[in-house]
Amino acid sequence: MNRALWLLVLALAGCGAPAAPLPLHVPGPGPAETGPSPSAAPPVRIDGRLAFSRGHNIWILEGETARQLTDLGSIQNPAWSPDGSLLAFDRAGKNSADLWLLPYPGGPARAISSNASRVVDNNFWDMQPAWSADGGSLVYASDRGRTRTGTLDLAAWRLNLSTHARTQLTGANLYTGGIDYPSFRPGSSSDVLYTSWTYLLNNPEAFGQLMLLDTKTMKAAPLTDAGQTAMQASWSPDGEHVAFVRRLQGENQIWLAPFPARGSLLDEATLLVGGMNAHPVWSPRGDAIAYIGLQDGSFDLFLQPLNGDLTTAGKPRQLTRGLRVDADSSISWTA
Amino acid sequence: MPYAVRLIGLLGLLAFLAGGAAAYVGYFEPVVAVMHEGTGQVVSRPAPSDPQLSPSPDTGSGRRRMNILLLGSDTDAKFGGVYGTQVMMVVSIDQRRKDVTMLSIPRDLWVQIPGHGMGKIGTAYHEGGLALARQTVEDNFGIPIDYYAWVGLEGFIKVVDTLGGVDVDVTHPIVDDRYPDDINSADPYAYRRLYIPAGPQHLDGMRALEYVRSRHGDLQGDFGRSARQQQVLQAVRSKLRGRAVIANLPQLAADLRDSIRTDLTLTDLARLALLADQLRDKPVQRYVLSPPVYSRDGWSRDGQQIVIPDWPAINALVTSVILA
Repeated sequence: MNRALWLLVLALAGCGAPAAPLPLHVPGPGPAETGPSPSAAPPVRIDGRLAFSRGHNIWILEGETARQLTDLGSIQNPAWSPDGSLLAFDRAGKNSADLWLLPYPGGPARAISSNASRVVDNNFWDMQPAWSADGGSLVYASDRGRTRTGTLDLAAWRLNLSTHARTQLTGANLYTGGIDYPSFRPGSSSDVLYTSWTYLLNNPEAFGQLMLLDTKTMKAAPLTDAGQTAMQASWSPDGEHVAFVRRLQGENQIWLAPFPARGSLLDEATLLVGGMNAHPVWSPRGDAIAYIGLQDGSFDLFLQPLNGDLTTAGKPRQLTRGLRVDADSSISWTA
Repeated sequence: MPYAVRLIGLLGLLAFLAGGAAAYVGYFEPVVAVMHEGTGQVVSRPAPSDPQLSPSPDTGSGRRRMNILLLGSDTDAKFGGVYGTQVMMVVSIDQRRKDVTMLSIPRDLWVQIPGHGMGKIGTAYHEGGLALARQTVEDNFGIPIDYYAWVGLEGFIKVVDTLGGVDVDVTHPIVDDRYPDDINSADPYAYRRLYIPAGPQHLDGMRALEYVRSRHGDLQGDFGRSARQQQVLQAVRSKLRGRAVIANLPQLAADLRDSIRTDLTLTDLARLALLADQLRDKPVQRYVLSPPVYSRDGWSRDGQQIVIPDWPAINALVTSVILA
């Protein structure tokens, strides 16, 4: 989709939505306010642009320089559109969260939902957006279904950016938090990956389970074993592999797995990185995984290069140092 | 509430920071002075009923375990001074084996409150202050309490913020549509919506409070948040490592004025300090007296929703992990 079409989509998306004016700070290219590690190790240069949240504003790491993109605050979960011309994100209020779209490298951002209400119970969460491969839809987590079901926990929803039609894709398990971080499979118009939080029959401790939903049949199937938390999954660019976080041995490890035959589990997963990590994301070329890791009391960005066979190519490299990246927000990488 | 956590934070801070060096005692003195000034409620320590079990921790000799009762509740004046504890936790330190056990007691546990008949254990603090809360724990569980510490909501926030926040792996998304909106609010009954995503993240004081205070987001309710309180407490402990924290002590002391009540003396702190380094890398055993193993949900005769203790199971646990 070319830029003009994107702008059209953006304009249409704004129609009917209480479009808040965009006091977003969008500085042009300039010196990094805080850059990657200055010291011992040489700076690591990345191809493309990595969007992340810091201080709950969007930051961009490009080359070896990080710079702040927004200053509105309460922003998280940036997601690049397939052509890299738009950033979707969510912005939280006291009782609600809305989806927003921001043109890149500059332009007015616009809320595409309006979920805040003075009546506490009339608020909604719309969060954690991810793009469809054609850029025409967003899939996201929301509790807006509770007006019908009474369920507070979040479910996966799809928003058609052209028609503004919203469709609920999944349900939610009660008292678990529901689902989080849904994403479309690259190259597929029907497969949606997400984490479902649930319980075992005799264990009241919730765990996360990766699920695949076929939106044609509306049937969901587990991708990971019950009882052991797997979460924050990310598709490889070709949609044939998945990186995800597995809670194991007191760590939040990053694992890679080839996507299995439909109905099978991610049985061939291999450990990529140990430690306290979050939100892995593939490089646009599929030759590295970026992720958030805890190092020396600060959440920072790291890079794990991969060989052609997806084995690790050397040790992880630290992209930022002491930057205190928001680990409660996903990250997104575009070419 | 999890304000006990703050206590622990403070205690742990002082202990771990002290790092085993008596030389720090002088440095801590103003901290302790502030704590005592702020409390206005110091409970005299009862004579140990069993000298073999309870030699004074002040003496530095004798009993193997040191037990600290941590209490947390809503901010003092919120309900005109009428409030129960929302956090009740015993932190037991084995001074010989150098290990730590945390035992969280549900606030709705139905127990005998000395002089007041049967009631929820969380109401003991309201009925008779720290002394009665302490006696209730000692009488029902047979755990000799050496020290107590109480922290309020705002104190908890301040402690965590002074430490620069804590890093925690949020166990599952927390969705709560009835989270108390009573901080900096004129309405003590106000509520708001809360969402905390799952996974590792940095929590500032307010966010940490939300994480340990929410009780509508999972099947475990009050038990779930007890587990989260222990989790944050451990995060606080790990945060206390490092000499850099020492620089925050004066600020911490100032922060905690009016926010913490404790009977720890300077001598006690010195003893805790001596344990500090030895406890640093030791695992922490965490227990919550939750159903179905240690209790079950039920109703009192007067219609209160309560947690009914399974005393044989609780006694067996206490005996094996604290009294043994």
